[in-house]
Amino acid sequence: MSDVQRSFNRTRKSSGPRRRVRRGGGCGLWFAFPVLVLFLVMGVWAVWTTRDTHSMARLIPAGQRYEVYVDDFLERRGHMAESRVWELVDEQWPLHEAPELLMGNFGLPDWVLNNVLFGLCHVSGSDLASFSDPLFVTRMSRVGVLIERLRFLVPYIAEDYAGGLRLRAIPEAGLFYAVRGRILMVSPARTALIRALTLAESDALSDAALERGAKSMGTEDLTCHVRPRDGETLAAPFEEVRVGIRLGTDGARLSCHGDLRPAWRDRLGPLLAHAHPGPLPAPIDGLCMVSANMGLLLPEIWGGVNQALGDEIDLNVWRERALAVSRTEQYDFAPLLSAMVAEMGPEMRLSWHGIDQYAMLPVPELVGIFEAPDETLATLFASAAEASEGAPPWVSLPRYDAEKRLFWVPAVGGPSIEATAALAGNALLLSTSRTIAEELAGQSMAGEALPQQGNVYVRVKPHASVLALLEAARQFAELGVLRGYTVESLDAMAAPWLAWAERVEEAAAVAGHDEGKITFSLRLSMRQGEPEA
Amino acid sequence: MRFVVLCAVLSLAAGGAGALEAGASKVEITAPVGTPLNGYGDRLGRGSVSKHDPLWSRALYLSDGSTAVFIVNTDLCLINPGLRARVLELRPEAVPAEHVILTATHTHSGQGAMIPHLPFRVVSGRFMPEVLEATAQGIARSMHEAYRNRRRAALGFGTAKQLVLSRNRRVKDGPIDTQVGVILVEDADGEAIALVTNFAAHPTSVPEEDHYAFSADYPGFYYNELERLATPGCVAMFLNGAQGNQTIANPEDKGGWERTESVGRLLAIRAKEVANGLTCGDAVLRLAQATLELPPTLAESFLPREAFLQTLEINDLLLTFFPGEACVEIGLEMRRRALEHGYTAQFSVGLANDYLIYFVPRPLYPAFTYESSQNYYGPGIADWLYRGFSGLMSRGTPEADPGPLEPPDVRDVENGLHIVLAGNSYAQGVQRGRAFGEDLRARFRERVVGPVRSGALKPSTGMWSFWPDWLDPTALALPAMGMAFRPLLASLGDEVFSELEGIADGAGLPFDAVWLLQNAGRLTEMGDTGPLFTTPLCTMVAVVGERAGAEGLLVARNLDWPHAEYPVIAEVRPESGQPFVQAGFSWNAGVFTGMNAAGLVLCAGRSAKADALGMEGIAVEFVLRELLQEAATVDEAKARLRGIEAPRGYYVMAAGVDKAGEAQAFVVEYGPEASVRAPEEGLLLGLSPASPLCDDSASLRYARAAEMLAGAEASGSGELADVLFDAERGQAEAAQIWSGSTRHSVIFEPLARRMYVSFPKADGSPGDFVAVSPAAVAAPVEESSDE
Repeated sequence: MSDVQRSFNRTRKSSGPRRRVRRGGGCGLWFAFPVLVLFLVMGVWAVWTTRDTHSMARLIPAGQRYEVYVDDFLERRGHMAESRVWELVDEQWPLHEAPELLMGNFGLPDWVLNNVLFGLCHVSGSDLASFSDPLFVTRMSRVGVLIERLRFLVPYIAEDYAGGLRLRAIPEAGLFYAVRGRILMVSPARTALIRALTLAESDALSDAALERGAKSMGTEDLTCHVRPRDGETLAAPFEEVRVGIRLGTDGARLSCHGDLRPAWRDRLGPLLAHAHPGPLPAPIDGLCMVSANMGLLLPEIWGGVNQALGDEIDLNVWRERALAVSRTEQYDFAPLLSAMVAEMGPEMRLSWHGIDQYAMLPVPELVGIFEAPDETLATLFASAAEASEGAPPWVSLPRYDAEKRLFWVPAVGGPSIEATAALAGNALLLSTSRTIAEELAGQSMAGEALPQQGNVYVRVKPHASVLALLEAARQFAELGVLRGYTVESLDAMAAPWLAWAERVEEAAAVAGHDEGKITFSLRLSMRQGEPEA
Repeated sequence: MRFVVLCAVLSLAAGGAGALEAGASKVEITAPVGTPLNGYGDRLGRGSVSKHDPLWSRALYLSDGSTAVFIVNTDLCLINPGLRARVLELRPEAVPAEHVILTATHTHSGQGAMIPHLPFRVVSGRFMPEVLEATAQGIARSMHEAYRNRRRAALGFGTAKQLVLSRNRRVKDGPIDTQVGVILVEDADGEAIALVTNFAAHPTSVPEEDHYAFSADYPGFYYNELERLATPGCVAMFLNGAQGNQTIANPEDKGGWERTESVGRLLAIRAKEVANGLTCGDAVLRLAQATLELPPTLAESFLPREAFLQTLEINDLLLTFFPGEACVEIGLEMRRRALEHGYTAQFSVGLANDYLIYFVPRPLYPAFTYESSQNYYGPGIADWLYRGFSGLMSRGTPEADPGPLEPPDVRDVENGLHIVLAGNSYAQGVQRGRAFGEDLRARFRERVVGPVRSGALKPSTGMWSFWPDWLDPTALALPAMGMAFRPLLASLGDEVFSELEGIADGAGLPFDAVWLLQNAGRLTEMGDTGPLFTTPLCTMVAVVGERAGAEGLLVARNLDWPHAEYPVIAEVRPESGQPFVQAGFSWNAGVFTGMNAAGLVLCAGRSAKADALGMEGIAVEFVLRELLQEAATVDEAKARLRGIEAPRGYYVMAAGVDKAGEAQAFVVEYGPEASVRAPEEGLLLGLSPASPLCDDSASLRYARAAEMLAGAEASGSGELADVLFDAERGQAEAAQIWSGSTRHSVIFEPLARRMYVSFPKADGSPGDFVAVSPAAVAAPVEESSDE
C-alpha cells in the first residue's frame, strides 16, 4: 500500500469549491440597498454618537482630597480576587466579600461590563472623613456608549434633568451618573456629579496630571493619592500620601510615599536629619526582627523620638526609671549603661528570638547588635568587672571574660534571664539571654546587606510569634492566674488568631526618609499550601 | 554514745513466698554544673557553680518470689510527678510500675530544673527537660543494674536510738525522732548487698560558701563512711524519715563541712553497729498502695487533688512512704499506731513518689512557722494520712472516715432558718457545713475570692508590687492569705477549731477558706480598700432588777450588718458543756448574739471608731462561742472577757446570773485596756455616750433608746421591742436603732432561759419574733408574737 499525498491550495480555483454562477439575480439588490443604507446611516450615527469628545481629566475636579487610580480593572480583578490575602479578612468584615464582589458583574452581562469598565478608572472625592462624595470616572468603549443609549429599555434608570445637565439616576442603588462622550461618571452624591460636569477648566484636573497619576501606578493594581488637611487625623504628618497596592496569589505589596508637612519636618528633624535611604544589614533571625540605620547614635535617636512625641510623653522619665532600677544594692549600673549606650549606633539590629517558656517565668529573648567601638567598650567592661573581683560567682556584679569578650551580670533565674554583652569586630551584641549571646558571639556579627534600601527594616513571622505568646499565656492559664481565661477558653480565644497567623509566612516592611519624603513598603507573604490541621 | 537495738528480726517467708532475691546498685546522677539547684528559695533559680560531692541514685531490688519491689533513694530534694513518670517508663519491666518506691533524700544541694510547673520554678529553677531526662535515665540505670545484680539474699532489720544526731529545728528541746532504722540485705555468702538506713533530719547543712555547689549533704558522708565500713560491693542507702521539723544536730561541735561530715559519719557508724547485730533470713514482702483523694486546698492550682500512698511490710517491719515532708509528730504517731497494730518496727519514709510539701499535725497548724505555712491540706492532714496508711496495713483495722454523721436538722422559721447542731463540735460543724454549704461557698466567693480577684486586696509590696493587672492573683494570693491567717487560730479553743474543721468538711471547702471567711472583716480592713465588708454596728440595751419588772433581767440587741445574709438561729447541743442558741448567719462559727442554757447572754458589738482590724488581737466572736459552751455565770464570763486582748473598739454585753444567783449585766469595752461598766439605775447601754468609743451616730441611737425607756419605771419585752424596732425619722441610717442594715433583733429573758429572735422581712421591715430556748432539747418553741 502506498501513501498518497494530497496538496490543497486555496488560491487555485480548481481545487476550491466550485462556485455557482447566479443568473438573473438583480431582484435581490433591490432589497439589499435600503438595508445597506440603513446600516450605513446607523453606522455613521453610531460612530458619531460614540466619538470620544471629552477629556476625562476635564471632568475631574482638581485638588480632590483623595484619588484612586485603577487601570484595566477587568483584566486585573482575576488575580486580585484570587489573592490569598483575602483569607486574612475576618468573615465578619464586609471586606471578606471582596473577592466575590470583584468577580461579580453587578447584575450585568460580561460583554456589557467589558464595554462599560474600559481602561482607566478614576475615583476621587473631597470628604476624607465619611467618603460621602466619591466620583467615579471611566472611559467606556463605543459599544458601552451605545449600550448606555439603550437605557430607555431599563426601567430603573430615571432621567434627572438637573438644569440641563441630563443626569441619570438609579434610585434603587442610590447612584447618579452622567455620560459625556465616552466618559462615564458615577457618584452617590448628585452635587459631586453636577460639580464635575460644570467645572471651569482651571478647576479641573489637567490631562498631564491625570496621565502622571495613571503612570504612577507602575505595576500596582491600585494607586491612591491622599491629601489630608493640616490637623486632620488621617495621615496627619503628611501633605500628600501615595499608596499603591499590588495583590498576588501568594501575597500582597503595599507601598507608600509621603511628603512631610513643614511642621513635621521640624518636629522630626533631629530624628531624620541624617536619615537617607541606604543599605541595611540583614537582621538576626528571630520571630520579629528590626534593622535600622538612622545615621544617629542611640542616645540621639532617643532624643529625636522624645522630641517627636511632643509634650505628652517624656521618654527621659522612662530613661531615669530604667537607670534607677539599674542601681542595685550591689552595684550602680547606671554609669556603665549610660557610657555603653552613648557608643551604640548608628547601625543597629534587634531581634525578638522568642520566649523562653522554661525560664523561671516565661521571658522574651531579645538580641541586639549595634555598631560600636569594641575596644572602647572592652575597656569599659573590664573596668566595670573589677567590682566583682573576689565575689562569689552568683552575686549580681559585672563579670567580663576578656578572652571570649563576654560581659554579663549573674542574675536570678539563670542564663536565660542574664543580661549579656559580647564584642566582636566593630559591633556590640546585647542579649537578655546569656545562652543566646554565647551562641551568637561565635558567629559573624556582620549581617549581609538587604536587597531593599531604607532606614528601618522590620520583618515579622506571625505564626511563630502567636504560638510563642500563646504557649506563654497557656502556662499562666494553667496556673489559674491569667485573668479571665482558663486553658480551654484561652485556646478558644486564640484559635482564630492562630489560624489567621498560620496563613501568613511573614510580613516585611522597609521605611526610608530622604529630604522630607518618607517611603514605606510592606510585603505580606502567604504560606504556601494549606495550613496545617 | 548509747544506742539500743530495739529489735532484730529473723523471719521466714510465709506460705506462698519464695526465696528472697536482692540486688543493689548506685549510679551517679549529678547534673552538669550550671544546672539550678533545688531546695532554697533564695537561690531564685541561679545555676550551680561547682560540685562538692556526687549525687547518686541508689536502687535496691527485692523479691520474695511473689512480690518484687524497687526501693530507690536519690540525692534529690524531692520527687516530682514528671520525674517519677519518666523513671517508671524506663524501669525494668519485671517490676510493675506501682512497685517502684522512689524517694529523695531531700538534699537541698541536688539538681533542680526538673519541674515544669510555674510556681515551683522559683525554687527549683528553670525547667530543663534534658536534666530531667538524664536524671531519669540515671535512676533507671541504677534500677536495671540492681535487677541484673540480683541474687539469693537474706534480710534483717533493726532499730537503734540516737539522741545527738538530730534536733527539732523549730522548738528548742522539741520532739525528735530518736530512731535509726536499718535494713540489712546480704547475699548467700553473708556479703552485704545493701544497707538501708532510715533517719529523720533535713539535709540542709551545706555551708554558705558552697550554697551553689552540688552535694548530697550529710547522706553523702554517710554513704562514704558506711561503704568504707561494710564489705566491698555493699550499697549504702538512705531513707529520710519524718523530717519536716527535724534537722541535724552538731554532735562533735564542729563547723562548716566538718559538721556535715560528722553527722554522716556517725550515722553510718550507728547504722553499721545495728547491722552488726542483725541476723538475716528470708523475708515476706507485702506492698500496698492507693491513690486517695486529698482534702480540699486553696492551692489547687498548683497542688494535686490526689496522693499516692505506699506501705511496704517486710515481715514485721512496716515502712510508710509519705509523699512529702511529715513533721516528726506525725512520724512518731504513725509509729505508735503501727506498733499498736502488732508491727515490731516502723520506718516513716518521707519525700516518696511525690511532693505535697509539708504535713504538720493539728496542734502545729496555727503556729507561725515555715512548716505550718507550707501545709496546704488543712489541719486534718495528719488524720488523713493515718487513715490512708491504716487502709494499706495488713494488721489492725483500717480507720474509717468520720462516720456517717447525723444529717442537719433544719427547719424554716419566720424570715429565716433554725438549725439544730448536735453532737461533738466537729459534728456540729459538719451539720452547719452541710446545711449551708452552698451559701458558705457563695459567701467565700463573694467576700474573699471576689476582692482578691479584683486586686482590691493585693498588697503593694514585694512581688505583688510587680503584679500586672492582666494577671489574676487569686490562685497564688488565696493560699498565701490562708497561711497568713493561721496564727489567728492560736486563740481558739479546741471546740471551735474542731467545729471549723467540721464546717469545712461539711461544706466541701478547704479549711483555710472557712477561716478566711470568718475573718473577711479583717481581710478587708487590712487591704484598706473601702467598706467591702464592715463589721457590725449594734444597739444593745439591758434592764436589770426592778427596772426589768417581773422578768428581773432583760437584754435587747439589734445586729446591724451592711451585707445581706442568710439569717439563722443555730441551736447548739454540744456533747459537753452548756447548750446554747446563736442568732447569726449561715457561715459564722463565732457568736455575735447568743444565750446558753444557764441563761448567760453574750452579745458583741464594734464601735464605728474602732481601729482597723489587723493580725493582732483575739477574735471576740470566738471567745463568746467558747464562753457560751463553757460558762454558766456572769462571773466566769467577766473573768474571761476582762483577760483577753481584743482589738480596740469591740465591746461585749454580758447578762445572766452570778454565782449567788443574782441577775447581773455588764459591758466590757475594749479600749486601750478592757474596762467593765455596770448598769446605772437598772439600765445598761451597749455603749455609754461618754465612752471614747462612741461616735455621733451611736450617741444618737443610745440617747434615743434611753429616752424611750426613761418614762417607765419598769420595761418589759414589749417596751424593749419598741426600742429595737424604732426607726426615728430624720436621722441618718447609722443613727437609727432599726435600719436597713439590721439583720436580727433579739430580746433575751435570761432568767426564763428564753430568747425572741426577729429577722427582717423581705421588704426590710421587722419580722415577727420567734421564741427559742437553749434549754429545750427537742424542737424549738415556735410561738409568734405580734411585737
